[in-house]
Amino acid sequence: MIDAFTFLFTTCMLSIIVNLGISLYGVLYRPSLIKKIISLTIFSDSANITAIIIGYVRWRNPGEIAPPVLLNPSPTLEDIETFAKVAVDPLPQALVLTAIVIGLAVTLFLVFLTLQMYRFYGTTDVRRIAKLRG
Amino acid sequence: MLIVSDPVSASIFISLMMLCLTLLLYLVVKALKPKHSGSGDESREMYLGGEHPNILSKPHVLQSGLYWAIVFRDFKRVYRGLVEKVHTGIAIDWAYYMTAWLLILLLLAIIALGVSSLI
Amino acid sequence: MNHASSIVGAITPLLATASFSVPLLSLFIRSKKFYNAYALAVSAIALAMASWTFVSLVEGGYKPIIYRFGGWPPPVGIVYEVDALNGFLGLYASLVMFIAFLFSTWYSKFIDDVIWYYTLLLGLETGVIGCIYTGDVFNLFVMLEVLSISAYGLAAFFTRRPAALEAAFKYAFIGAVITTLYFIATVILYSAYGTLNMADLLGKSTLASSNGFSGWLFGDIASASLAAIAFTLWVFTFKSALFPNHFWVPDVYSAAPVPVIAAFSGAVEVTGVYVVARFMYTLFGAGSVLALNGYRDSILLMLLVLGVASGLVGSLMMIMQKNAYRLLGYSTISHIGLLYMVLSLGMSYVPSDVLKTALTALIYHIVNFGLGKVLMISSIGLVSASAGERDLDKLSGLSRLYPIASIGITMAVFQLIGLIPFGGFYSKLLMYQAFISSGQLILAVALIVVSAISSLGYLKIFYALIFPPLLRSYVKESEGVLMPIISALAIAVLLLGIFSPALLKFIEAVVENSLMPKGVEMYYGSFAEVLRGYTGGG
Repeated sequence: MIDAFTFLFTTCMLSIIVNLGISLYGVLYRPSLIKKIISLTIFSDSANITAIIIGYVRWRNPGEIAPPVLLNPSPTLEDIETFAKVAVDPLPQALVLTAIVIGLAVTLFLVFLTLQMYRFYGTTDVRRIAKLRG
Repeated sequence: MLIVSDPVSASIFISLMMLCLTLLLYLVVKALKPKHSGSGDESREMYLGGEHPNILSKPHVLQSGLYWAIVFRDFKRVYRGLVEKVHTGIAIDWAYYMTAWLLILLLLAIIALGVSSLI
Repeated sequence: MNHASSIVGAITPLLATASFSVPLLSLFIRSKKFYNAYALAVSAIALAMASWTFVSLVEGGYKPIIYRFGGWPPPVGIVYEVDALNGFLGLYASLVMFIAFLFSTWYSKFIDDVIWYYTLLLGLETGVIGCIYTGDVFNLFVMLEVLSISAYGLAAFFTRRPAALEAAFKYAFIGAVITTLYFIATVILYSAYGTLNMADLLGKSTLASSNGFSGWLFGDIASASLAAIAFTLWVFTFKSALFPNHFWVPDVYSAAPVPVIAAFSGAVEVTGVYVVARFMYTLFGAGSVLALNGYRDSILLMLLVLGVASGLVGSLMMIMQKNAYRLLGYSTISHIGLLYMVLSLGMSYVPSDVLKTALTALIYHIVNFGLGKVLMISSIGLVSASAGERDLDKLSGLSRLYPIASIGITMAVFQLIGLIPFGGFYSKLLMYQAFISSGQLILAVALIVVSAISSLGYLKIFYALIFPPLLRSYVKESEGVLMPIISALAIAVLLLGIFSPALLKFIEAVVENSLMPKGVEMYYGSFAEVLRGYTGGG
């Protein structure tokens, strides 16, 4: 017998994995460059959500999970102890922050490339952009 | 150290290398030797080793001639496969080969997981 | 904290700052000469720092140097950990990058916008040195992104050429996917091990030791390591262009600026090979969780097979190329295949002295191949950039105008094929010995077949550039700085062969102190010593 919390968590995890698979398919096999960019953003967002979920300390009771924010500006030792006990793991969130920033740069670069390619080739179909072969 | 202490494998290596070079030279000589048409009829056409006559207008032998002379007949099928199946230049075709390699890695991982659950 | 440690920590921030200050400086200074001198000076400083690091590493008996960013204890903060292997490769990569910058000072007359060129090239060097020196799995991701974005930008540098755009877009799309996959791999590792530090991962995966900062394990490390290593290997075989992931190399080479091609061939792909070696021998070595269920052996076998395939495909495709740099791209693929063939001899049934020979051959061949390739690219670059052509047919006979280029091409071809007095011969001989003594005769035959086929491809460069007459008259460009580069590299490849016994002894010591069990123990030992400084002998 599983409770609602576990059920939702598992569904969430499974849907992320399916999302990763679908967006990987999109970015590798769809011929349109625009659709590739869309799939790529979906792919990196799914990866980021995976990181966030892993930082969510699943094995604790639902009441003992809180965001990693210190409410008291000058915390006492007790505050810090309770904080360490209830806060979710902040490290994956830091990782995600880095990944989002990098993802933005890459997406911008790809959009620029797509625009410039469209000017030269007159198409955004990958199958027709194949001058370099052999 | 390793190089001077093991003369046996060094000599095998050098002789194999020499053998390969000799084979290579043989191939080059064989390919560049003028061929006589075996048909035997009295045609007045100039025979250019199967090349199109317009190569005579070139000032010298093109470097691609080396490739075609040696390789064209013997490796035709290999090259057709390599160029038309693998290196097509279309990104989607690359993705098939790349994901195949990823899937092999993941498949091996799943098999290893099964093995470790048996242990 | 001693000097060597501070230098290890200073090298990437210095390069990154230098890179980002180029666009700022462009507000005040527009002179091309200034940027040539600036970038050259920065890379010379980086080279000096990398050499200092390596010299102090050798003087300290190859004890790994650790730099803690922000003074945080290792598993909490980011550390750079330099042992014999990454010290040596960092020195090698910064040398190659220095040559690329020197080459750029000559090449910059063909470039309109040197500001972005140098920003990206300095960024590339930051990424390469960061990837090599880092001791943190997530910092490796960040540095990989720095490297990749600079590489995409440099591949698309000639934005008016459709070929450059096409190559960059193919590279960048798949590159974006693979770096995201590597991000997922680091997250999976973190979820099971609770740490991102390489030495800590090594401790938990192999030595089963815990520490007070990152705790013990949080999940099933066996399955997490399987998934993470599968993704990681896919990512870094893409970066280093192993056979099914090699497609970007010839495309990018056929349209990128010439010094960038030298940097790619000599430093960027070698970085991928280094990271695979680091993961397979240090993080998940012979005694780790990965070896228990036979996964390590099976993927090493796969890498071996793909290495052979890569060597064959690269050398076969070389013969039919028309573009000079595309040909060199396939030659790089074939050499990377050879590198992976010796890299993957670490199966559990291969005796350890054979593995030591193989890894010595790996590092020696990295140096031989890299310097030979840079020599080849700078010689052909002199000819092709002056003529403004990359097609071998149109370049015919051009190196008659430049005797130094003819000499450089000849020496580089001998080095890359592996003729007797050159370094390439000795590294191939050592590879051959490793294959024979591991009992795999077929690999030794494959090595010789690959060398023989690829020699046909190199012959083509000879035949196109040196033998035929000139097609029309050209204006001869001055060789400038390429004269010393080519002559120094030509002498270097000869010396690599002549002094090979002493060099091999030295490289063997490097391997012994890094990838072999003794070196892995030292890698963990340095980390544990730093930790003990925080916990007070705990």
